[in-house]
This record gives sequence, C-alpha cells and structure tokens, in this order.
Amino acid sequence: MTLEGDSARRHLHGLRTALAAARLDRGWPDPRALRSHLRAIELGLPVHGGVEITPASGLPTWPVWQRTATDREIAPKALAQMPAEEALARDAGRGPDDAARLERWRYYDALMGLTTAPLGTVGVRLRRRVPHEVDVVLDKLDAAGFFVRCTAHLRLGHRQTLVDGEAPSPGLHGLLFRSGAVDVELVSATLAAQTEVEVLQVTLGVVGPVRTSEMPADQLLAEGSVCARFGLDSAAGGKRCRREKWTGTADVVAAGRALDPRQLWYEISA
Amino acid sequence: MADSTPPDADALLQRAVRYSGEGISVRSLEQTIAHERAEQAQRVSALSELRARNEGVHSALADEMERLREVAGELGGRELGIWDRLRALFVDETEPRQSVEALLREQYRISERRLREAAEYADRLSLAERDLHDEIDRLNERVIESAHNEDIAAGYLLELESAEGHLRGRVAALGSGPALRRAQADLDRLHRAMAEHSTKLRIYATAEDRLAVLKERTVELARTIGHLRSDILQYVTAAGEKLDMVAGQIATVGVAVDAANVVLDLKRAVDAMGESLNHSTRFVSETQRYFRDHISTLVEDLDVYDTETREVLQRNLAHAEAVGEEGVEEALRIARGRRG
Repeated sequence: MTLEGDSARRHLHGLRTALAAARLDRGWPDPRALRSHLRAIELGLPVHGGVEITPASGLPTWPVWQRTATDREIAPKALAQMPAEEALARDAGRGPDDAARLERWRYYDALMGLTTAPLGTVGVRLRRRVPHEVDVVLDKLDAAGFFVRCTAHLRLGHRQTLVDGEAPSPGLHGLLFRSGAVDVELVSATLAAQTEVEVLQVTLGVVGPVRTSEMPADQLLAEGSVCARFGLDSAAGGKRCRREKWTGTADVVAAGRALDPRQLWYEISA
Repeated sequence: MADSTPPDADALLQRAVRYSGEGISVRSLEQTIAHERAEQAQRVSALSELRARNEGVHSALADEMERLREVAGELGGRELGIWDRLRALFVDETEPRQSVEALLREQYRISERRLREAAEYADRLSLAERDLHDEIDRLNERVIESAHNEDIAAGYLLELESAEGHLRGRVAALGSGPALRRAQADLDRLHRAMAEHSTKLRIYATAEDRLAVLKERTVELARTIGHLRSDILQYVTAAGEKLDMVAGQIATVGVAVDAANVVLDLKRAVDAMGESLNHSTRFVSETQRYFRDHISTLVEDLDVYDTETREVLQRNLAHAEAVGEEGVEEALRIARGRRG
C-alpha cells in the first residue's frame, strides 16, 4: 500500500504522535529514534515521492526505512559536494532537474539534525552491579514489518563463548537475529541450549500495529486520528506474561462515538 | 562614381570605429584563454578524480562479489531436510550459525549506498555538463563577436589603405609648402591608424581561431561527461531494479524462515544481488577502460594545446610590439581576403 502527498504526511505524523503518547520504556525499541526516523521519511517525500506502508503493521516497509537510513548516511558527503543552497535556488527555475536538486539539498540538510533507528542490530549491555550478567539486545524491523526489541537477560559461565566483552559473537548475533523477533519462549529455549549460559528473562517489545485514518482499510477512524498497540511479551523461569499499551487520538466515525484506544482497536479490527 | 571621389582622410581618422564587446589586447586575450584553459583543466581533473574513486569502488565490488559467491556456493551446496532445518533453528547444539538474512541486509545496505552515491555522482556530472554547455554558449558569443570585429577592422583598414593611396599621390604632386606638410602629417596619422587597426585585426583573427578551438575542446569535454553520465544512469537504473527485487526477496526470506523453500529463496536473493554487483563490476571495468583510453589523451591534448597557444600568443606579442609595414601588409592581405 502506497501513500502519497498529504495523506502520507498525515499518516507519518500520526505514527509519531502515537509513539510520543505511548511513553515506551527500555523494553521497546527506542521511541525517540523511531520518531526521528519517521520525521526523516516525511522530509524525504518531495524527493522520493510516496511511502510504501506494510498493511499489517501500518509502518513503512523495510526498503523505505533503509532508503532513509542510507540518505542520512550519505547526506554529509553529498552536501559537501553539492553547490551552495543560494546557487541551487538561483538555478531552480531553469528546469525540473535543477528544482529537484534544490529539494534534495534541503532534504539532506534537514537530515543532518536527525538520527535513524537501528534496523537490525544486536548489542550487549553489561550489568555493572552484577558481574557475569548481561542484557543482549536485538533491535530489528522484522520481516512482517513490525519494529521489535528482544532483550535477553543472561548469566554467563566462565567457559561461555557467546559474548566477548561487550560484543556478541557472530553465532549469538545470528541466533538472535533469526529467532529474536519470533517468540520469547523460542529465544529462551534456544539460548538455554548454549553452553554455560543461564537465561534469566527474555522480553520482546513490539511497536505496532498502528492505524490512522489514511489507511484505506480503516475507514472507521475519524480524519486525523490514530490508534496504536504496543505489546510486550516476557518469559522468565518457565512463566510467560504479556502486557499491552494502547494509544490513540481516535473516535469511530460511523457511530460518532469516542472510545478508549483499546475498545476502538477491537471495533476497527472486527 | 563614388569610387572616384578621393576619400577624406581627416574625416576617416575622426570617425570612431565601434568594435563590439570589451576592448581587446594581446594581454586580455591571453588572460581569457588562460582562464578558459584553467576551467577545462579543472573539469578534466574532476574526471581524473572519478577515475581514482572508481578504482576503489572496483576493488570493493570485487571483494563483495567474492563474499556473495561464497554464500551462494554454500547455500547451493547445502541440502537440508525439514528436520535438519528445524533442529538447526531451534536446538542449536553446536556453535550457532550466522544469520543469512542479516548478511543479506548488510549487503543490501552496502549496495544501496554505493548505488545512491553513483546516482549523486551522475547528478554532479549533469551539473558539470550544464555548466560546460553554458560555457560553450559564452564561447560562441565571443567567437561571433571576434569574427564581427575582425570584419569591422578589415573594412576600416581597407578604407584607410584607399585614403593612404590617394594621399600618397597628393604628396607626390604637391612638391613643397605648407600644404605638403599637412598632407604628410595626415599620411603619418593614417599610418598610425593602419598600424593600430591592423593589430586589432590580427588579434581578433587570432581570438576567433583560438576561441573556436577552445570551444571545440569544451564541446568534446561536455560530450565525454554526457556519455559518462548516461552510462552511470543506465547502471544506476539497472542495478536499482535488481536491488528492488532483492528487497522483496529478503522480506520473503524473513517471513518464510522455516519454510521448505527458504534455501531456494536465499539462493535466488544472493544470485540476484550477485547479478546486480555483476552489473556494477562490468560497468566499473568498462568505465576504467574508457577513462584509460580518453582521460590521458584529453590531458595530453590540453597540454599540447597549451604549448601551442602560448607559442602563438608569444608570436603575436612580438608582432604587436613591432608593428611595421610588414605587419600592416599582412593585415591588409587578411582584410582583402575577408572582403573576397
């Protein structure tokens, strides 16, 4: 599904609003980085045209996130090699290529003040007060189009080979990358099978789905409104639990009712 | 009948000759050509820089190709049953393996970055090409202006020559007295004007020829940059399409991580990416060859041209400093030639 122009802008704004309202903690992907990345995607609309959305999650597709991350990466060099903005503005009327070049300069310049979210990284956080215990954190835009953070709290034995200092081994990286976004119990079981590793807890925070009135399937949402779900699964000591956060600024058009986001979610999903 | 009327030397000398554009001198012509030459040298140097950068890209692409070949070979050679794959995924008894999806994503990131840089470079070439075309327009104006001024100088010089012929006859007829002295003074002023305008005629003639050659060189440079930009755009478009396809396959691989055809999907993704990189490698190799064949020649040509220009200008300067009968005679020959 591709959104363009003002529709894309309103949708991306809705996503940022939902993320800001959710007050996500460390169990979920960093909401500030996500909002900044979404802002970068919005700024890139005049350059790239529309934005493709994964219908299931309501978030932009992986190539869109990646394209914007690449733009951010090349922005400093591109700006350094382009003529100054005044010169580009002077020539902007000469033709469509010149106008597009000015747009691109402004886009790159705006990107310089923004950060992008990690699309697939595995890192290790040491627990300073507890020796031999670490959090291994996977941040990923998963294949289904949802942003996930999988955090595995591990106690490491002396002969373990999964973590070297603050860096995960290639094997641990691969293991978490493959199964970290799937299920907490699966991650827990897979890690527990490793030598000299005790799994204390695994959490999986998921951003999405998010719905805005710009998505064709969600005609029930009033114009400019958004409704989002943020799930957090955890598994520890053989027990599993789930909690969810709901945010939204929405009401239902058809019935003219204002509902709390959770209730609304069931209405629009029905 | 008008031809039989003796030209009025005084009126002729009083007449203001209006050359178009800024005034010209040997020094200003030298400066103009030096400036144009510097502009061209800068463009050629930018192209040489691209050559150096392409060598780096070429080497990086070769490494990536090798890595992809290894991954593709491993995937192609591995034949896992469903149980093996499930066991490998869920119960990793030995050292866990690396994620192919992560590898593909990283490769995609690198390839996309390279592609975007190539697109940016094509845009910079397009800008340089536009500037060169502006430069060609400007040079054409200067060439036309020089040709026009050459015509004006030639016409005036022929008029001066005609007046000089009549005046010389008058001087011979007068014998002596103040009238003779006045006629001789007019003759001297005519000679001075002939020297001045014959110099201008020669400089404008030189400027026209030199600027025309410079323009040809600029056209050649613009054409080279145009071809290169077009080649890069073709490569960017072809590789971009491949990358779009790969993006879809990477997503499929992620979704169907435990599906029976996952290995086949991975193989296809790797092959497609390999094909994209093959495009890149072929393009870079061809560009390298293109540069090897053309840039050095361009630089050498410019050097040769520089030397020739300097020699011509030096000869001109020597001529201009010693404007005498010979110079005027030569200029008159040029002027007569222009008037057919």
